[in-house]
Amino acid sequence: MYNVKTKTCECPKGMVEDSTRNCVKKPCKGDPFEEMFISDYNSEKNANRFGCTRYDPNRTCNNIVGNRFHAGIDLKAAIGTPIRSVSDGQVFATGTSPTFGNYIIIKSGNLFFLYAHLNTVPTISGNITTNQQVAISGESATVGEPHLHLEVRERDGTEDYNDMNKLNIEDYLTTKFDNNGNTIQNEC
Amino acid sequence: MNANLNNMKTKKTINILFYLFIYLFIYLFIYLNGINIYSQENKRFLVSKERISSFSINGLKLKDLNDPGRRFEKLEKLGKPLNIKYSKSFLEKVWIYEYNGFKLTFVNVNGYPELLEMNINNLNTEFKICLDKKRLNEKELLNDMKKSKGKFIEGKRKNSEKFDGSSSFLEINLTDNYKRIKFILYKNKII
Repeated sequence: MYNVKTKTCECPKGMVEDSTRNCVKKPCKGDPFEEMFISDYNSEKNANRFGCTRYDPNRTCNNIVGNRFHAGIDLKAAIGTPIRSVSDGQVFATGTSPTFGNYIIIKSGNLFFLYAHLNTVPTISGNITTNQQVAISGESATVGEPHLHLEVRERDGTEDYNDMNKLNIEDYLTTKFDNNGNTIQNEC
Repeated sequence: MNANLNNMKTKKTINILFYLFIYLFIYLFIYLNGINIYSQENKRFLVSKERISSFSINGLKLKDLNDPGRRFEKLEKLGKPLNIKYSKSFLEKVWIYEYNGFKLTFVNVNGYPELLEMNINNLNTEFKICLDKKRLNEKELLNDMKKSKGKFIEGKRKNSEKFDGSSSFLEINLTDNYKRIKFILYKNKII
């Protein structure tokens, strides 16, 4: 959508040349995608953000009746979209899970960044730098709803991932979203 | 001259018959496929979203099944399970509680167990299913489908379409002749 074949020596402002010598939109440092949109599955965008955001009449979340907890953010991504690391770190684990599908975890200090529903299990290992491509988006374990589930947890005295401190991933992204879940354009 | 004219008429008639045959073939192909799709795919009933919360099994309401407690203490109402399978990975813990006629799969990804799936595969056992405060056996469930809220869906419908913007769905899967229930599936979206 934003790819521009260029015949000039320099790309327009806000764009960079990719490996095929096309000008592409410059990604914000710390965002997994060049184009950042919250997924609109689950009735509305805000249902795909961090917190007690999911409507569920059969659940209670932090004393809010009718809501379910969502530990991360679901970002819109067509199958096959390259995913970049939002932080420096090391590949901590890769694999497949019944709930998360194919995933990769990148550890950065005490923080564990989880990228889920990937197209395949990533084969990358070792040190990772911010904006380095680490995976390809998909729809594993979520048939029919291709998106990236991205979350961050902090090792807070426990080695058990389930019990780690769940943090709001939006605090770690460069792109911000307004109260309706729409993207606020950043100059980056 | 007349022979030529007759030949042309015969050819024209053959052409018309040929095209009629093709149209008839296409029509029959589409019609029979339509019947086929109906009879093979349309055997699942999605219970309407507003009725799901009224579902209970052996007196245990869905909200308690969804959130069974950290030690599964709310499941005591269901009696002793036949078997409990447990597996663990870095990301999640999974428990499968097997009872006579149904199976419950729980996962812990957020610090507490949550119901991922309930599969009722034998309605001839002693457990009690209630919907809208009415106890229903297999026959009553089949009758209920004819008159109550919900919809029949194609068999190949993706889970995302069944969730239809919500966090759960309850599906009743029927046999080919619509006379028996094969299984009942309740599914939750966890992440």
